[in-house]
Amino acid sequence: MRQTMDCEAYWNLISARLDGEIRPEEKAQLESHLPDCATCRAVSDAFVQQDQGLRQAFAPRSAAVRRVADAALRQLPGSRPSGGRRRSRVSLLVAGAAGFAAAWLVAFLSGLVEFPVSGERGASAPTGLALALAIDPVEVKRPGGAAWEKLAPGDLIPAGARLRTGPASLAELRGTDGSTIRLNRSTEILVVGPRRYELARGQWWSEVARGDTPFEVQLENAVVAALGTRFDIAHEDGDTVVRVLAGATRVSVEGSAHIIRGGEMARISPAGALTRRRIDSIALASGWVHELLVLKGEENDELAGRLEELLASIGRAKMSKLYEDEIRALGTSCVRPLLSYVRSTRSLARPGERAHAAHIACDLAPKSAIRELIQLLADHQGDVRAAAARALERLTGIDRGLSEEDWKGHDWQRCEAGYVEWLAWLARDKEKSATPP
Amino acid sequence: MSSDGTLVREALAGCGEAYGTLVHRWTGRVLALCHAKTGQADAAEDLAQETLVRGYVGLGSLEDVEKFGAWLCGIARRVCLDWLKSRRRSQVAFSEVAADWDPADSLAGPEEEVSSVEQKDEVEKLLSEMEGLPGPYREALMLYYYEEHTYRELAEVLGVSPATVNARLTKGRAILRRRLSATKK
Repeated sequence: MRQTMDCEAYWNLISARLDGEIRPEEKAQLESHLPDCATCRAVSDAFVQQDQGLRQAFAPRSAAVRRVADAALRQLPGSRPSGGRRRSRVSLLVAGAAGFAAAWLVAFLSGLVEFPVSGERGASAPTGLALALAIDPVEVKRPGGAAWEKLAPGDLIPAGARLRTGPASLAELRGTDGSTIRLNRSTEILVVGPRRYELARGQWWSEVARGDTPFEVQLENAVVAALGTRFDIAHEDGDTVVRVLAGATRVSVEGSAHIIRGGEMARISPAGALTRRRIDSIALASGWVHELLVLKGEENDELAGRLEELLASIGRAKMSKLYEDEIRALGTSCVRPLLSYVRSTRSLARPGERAHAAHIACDLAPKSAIRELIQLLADHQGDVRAAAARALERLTGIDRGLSEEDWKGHDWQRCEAGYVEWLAWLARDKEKSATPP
Repeated sequence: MSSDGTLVREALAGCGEAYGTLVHRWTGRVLALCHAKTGQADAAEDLAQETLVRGYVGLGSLEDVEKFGAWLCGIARRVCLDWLKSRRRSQVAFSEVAADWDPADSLAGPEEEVSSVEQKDEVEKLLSEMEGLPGPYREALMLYYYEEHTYRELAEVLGVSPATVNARLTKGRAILRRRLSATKK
């Protein structure tokens, strides 16, 4: 069918309806046109499908937005902006390091389960690396020392020291340059010098900040140089696997340099052969760090960002269960971030993800979440209401004479009485509901 | 909620939190704009970060404090233009400091890298096609999908009318539809 000017005008209305920007009279006009126009119906269906795909593609970008904002704020020099003066990159880096140190102190004083880095501050500190967070003890063998000893939080790790985690240990190290390094179980590293390390065994994750010197990790037969942001290195089946989660790295093997970019992985054999492929799932690739994120508390942005990435990936037929399992493995720690996502305005445009988040959160919600669950009984999405009702019955044994189907249905009058009864119950039995922290 | 102008005045008066609020309010749009301009998500993050810091440093030069957003987006465009011109920004993060780094390594576009990797899935292909759209349509779609702002908010960033925002989103979607249909044949 030949496209007419009228049809193109209707396509604008289709977009406006998709974006929530259509006026009532335009909506009526569009809805009277669509039944008579196969072309416009096809365009509408295509735009809706494309919109779902784009929302899924952009879901991880919200974490990028937070990351950029946080990184920019850490770089801001002092508390008062200057007027009209341009700064060089070097002075920004130096000022950024001081700003970072101040931000770290504020974060510590606000009660996070972390430790400030002691010793010399600034981008030019001799090593600048210290233990910030750990599950089970982490050990250090100092240069010239013969024995392993427990590493104390906050102590600067000198050049030449070896660190190792045990079979049950996970550790997060922080550098005064702003870089973060996480070590998985049974991992050993050598701190060669500032921003230079050797990975002897195990698995390593790092988020690299700008610095005056290169950030490099020496492997058995390769060197990984950070060209920006996040990467994960693991020994798997005799090979070394470098997964770049964001940014890029330069992997030098047998005299050749390979740029590995975000979303790609490189597998290096003991003989030095490098093969490259795309990472199946960035969200799952470094899931082992989630246990450390949980230690930082339910309000930390990185945990919230990872949950949103995992939620966005549920629904891809091949891997749905893996993503959902990864979220559920976080246990009750994921409940608060998931419920926050359900309450957020950005979740409104993603009803499928929203319902899934509510479903998981309600399955795992403890009694301290009862107040929030009762609020969800009045949600506009039936699936969310039903999930909340199911959780409340699990936690209290009370169903108000209503089934899940009742809550999922469109007959609010049927459920309203139950909702009012829950509100009265909450007011009357406050001691049973344990106010959330 | 304080207006951008109020926050700018507070920031200039020494209130550190005020600029932080502006950062959180505008980072999404700045990042979307940088992504649209460069076509590279990773570079966009560094460029957006630089934009926000430059905004802080140059805040005293802003003449109309209520136009903070448009002014900041102007900085973002210039930062991206410099990057595109030079093609060897240290925003490809550590290029300046890696002693034996070859700038040519970072100039290899994503299409050269993916020739040896497995086929992208549908979602990644959609994003890749979007990154290849003509500029005005790419900008409009990126700005919309990063944070789903209203047409009025997007119009402020793009310097056009809300109707033009609608038209650009529609045209971008139509081109994407045509290109994706063509690649499936």
